[in-house]
Amino acid sequence: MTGSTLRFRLAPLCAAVLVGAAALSGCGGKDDDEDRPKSSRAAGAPKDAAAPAASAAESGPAAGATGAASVTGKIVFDGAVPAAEKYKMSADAFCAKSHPGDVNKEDVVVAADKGLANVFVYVKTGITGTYPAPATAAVIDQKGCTYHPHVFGVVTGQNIEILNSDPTLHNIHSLPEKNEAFNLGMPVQGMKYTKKFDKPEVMVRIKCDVHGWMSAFCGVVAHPFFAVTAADGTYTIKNLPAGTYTIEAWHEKFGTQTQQVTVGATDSKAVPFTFKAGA
Amino acid sequence: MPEAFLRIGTRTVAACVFLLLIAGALVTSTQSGLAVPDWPLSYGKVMPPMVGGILYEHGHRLVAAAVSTLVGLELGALLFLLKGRKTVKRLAALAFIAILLQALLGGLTVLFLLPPAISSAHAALAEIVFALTAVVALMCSKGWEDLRISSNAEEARATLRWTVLATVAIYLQIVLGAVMRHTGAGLAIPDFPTSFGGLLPTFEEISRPGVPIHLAHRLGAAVVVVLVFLGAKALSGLRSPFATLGAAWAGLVCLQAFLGASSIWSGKAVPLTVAHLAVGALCWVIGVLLSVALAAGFSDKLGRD
Repeated sequence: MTGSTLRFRLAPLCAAVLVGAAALSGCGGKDDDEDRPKSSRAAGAPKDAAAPAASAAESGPAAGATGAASVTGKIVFDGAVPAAEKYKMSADAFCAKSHPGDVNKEDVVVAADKGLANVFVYVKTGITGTYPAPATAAVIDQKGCTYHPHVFGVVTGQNIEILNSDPTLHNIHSLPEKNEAFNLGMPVQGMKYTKKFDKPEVMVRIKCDVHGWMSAFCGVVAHPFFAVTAADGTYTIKNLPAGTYTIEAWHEKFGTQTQQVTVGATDSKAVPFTFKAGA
Repeated sequence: MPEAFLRIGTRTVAACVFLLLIAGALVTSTQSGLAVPDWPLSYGKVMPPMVGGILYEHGHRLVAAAVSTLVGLELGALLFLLKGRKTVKRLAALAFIAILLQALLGGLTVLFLLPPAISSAHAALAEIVFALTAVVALMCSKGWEDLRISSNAEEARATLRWTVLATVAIYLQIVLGAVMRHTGAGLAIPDFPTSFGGLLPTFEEISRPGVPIHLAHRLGAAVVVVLVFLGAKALSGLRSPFATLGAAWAGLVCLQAFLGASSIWSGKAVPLTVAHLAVGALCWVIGVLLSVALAAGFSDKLGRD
């Protein structure tokens, strides 16, 4: 058969595979005990991230020292506060019911007096010795289709209790670079898992792939000297031994800043930080 | 009657595989790949609540199961209804094996938390499955066995060479795109047509994570456009439908380049990234179909010389 009498037609065949193109228009670990879900619901809200210092003191540091000094401060945002990005929770009827209308992203939370919340502040250098993981677990709860808390810290090896308080399912997916990642399904209300990170890492992002807006950050440090700023931007790192330290403040949108501070045995020194957009 | 049934059936299967590709693109574009942490079940069930990212991930699994069944049925139908034609049957068998392997890769990438190597292999094999089913459909077309294209040997060789070269380049570009997508490098260079404000990234910029693969995909796009245009030019010397398909091929590649640029400009808007993947798959399969048809149509000339 020659081209002029070609009966075979490629065009209809290609048209057949093109049919699907029309659809485009509509496109809008470990197997150990710690991984096993527990059905009992843990009571109480997540503890303040600054608290583990006390827990560490209870356990008694193996070699690292604690003291009576502290570093406090207020972290403020300088400049025009960026308008909060908004999103809808319409992908899940329960979430939408919990938060009708637009919801503000939690990445930038600035108080009326410019205090910046959700900043992870920790001693980056200057601490020597090793510190045992606190006996008390840190808690992260999936409640109202958001994480509580949004930013928290743990000591390496400290248990993290992961709760699902929602009557909808979540998956909790960690995205560490140095630690072992996990992705756990939590389809039942009241479900609980316990996980931990064994290596220091600031920060480990945590997300829910079912509800794309849900994200949290966990700072993992080798000692208990860290805090997360409160709604008014204030923080306190307690029980420090005397010494010279580099304090780092981390914010998910505005990056990191560091300052050096020297504290005596019972000093309380102020180390304020100021973040600016795009700085 | 069986011929007509097979002709329509095989085309339908190829179209369904294309829809499966789109379903997969929706999973990655909405970052829902791990919305269901277990496999083969979903939250321990066959049918979890279809909320949020589960709609895309579990939806993809359901579509994949249906399409895999169709590919299996296609193989069965060809084996029972078609006399002779070993090549078609072998290709259909290969398609069925490939789609089963594809399902396994899909499961593994979920269980291992989306390692780029497995996720990219999943994407690359998907295109092979699409091409195999499309070629099976082509070979079940009317007149396939008598296909001859009038041309001289030199012209035949040149046309086939450019078409195959462009098709291979498209596939390599798709694999590059898959690696870029699965390593999170889609916006590693945030501007287009400039790169960090310049014509090309500086050495310091190239050393940043994701920039080399992103840059390779951009440069690859330029190579693909040139090769497809050369292929289309060579095809223009033939009679329809080859000349027409060549022109359509060149048009689709231009659209694909625009969709790639638009994906960057929009900050990876889901409809655009999905469309980019879909049009890329169409460019690839048209290249494969043209290459296979040309090789068959020119076989007497190529064999003689």
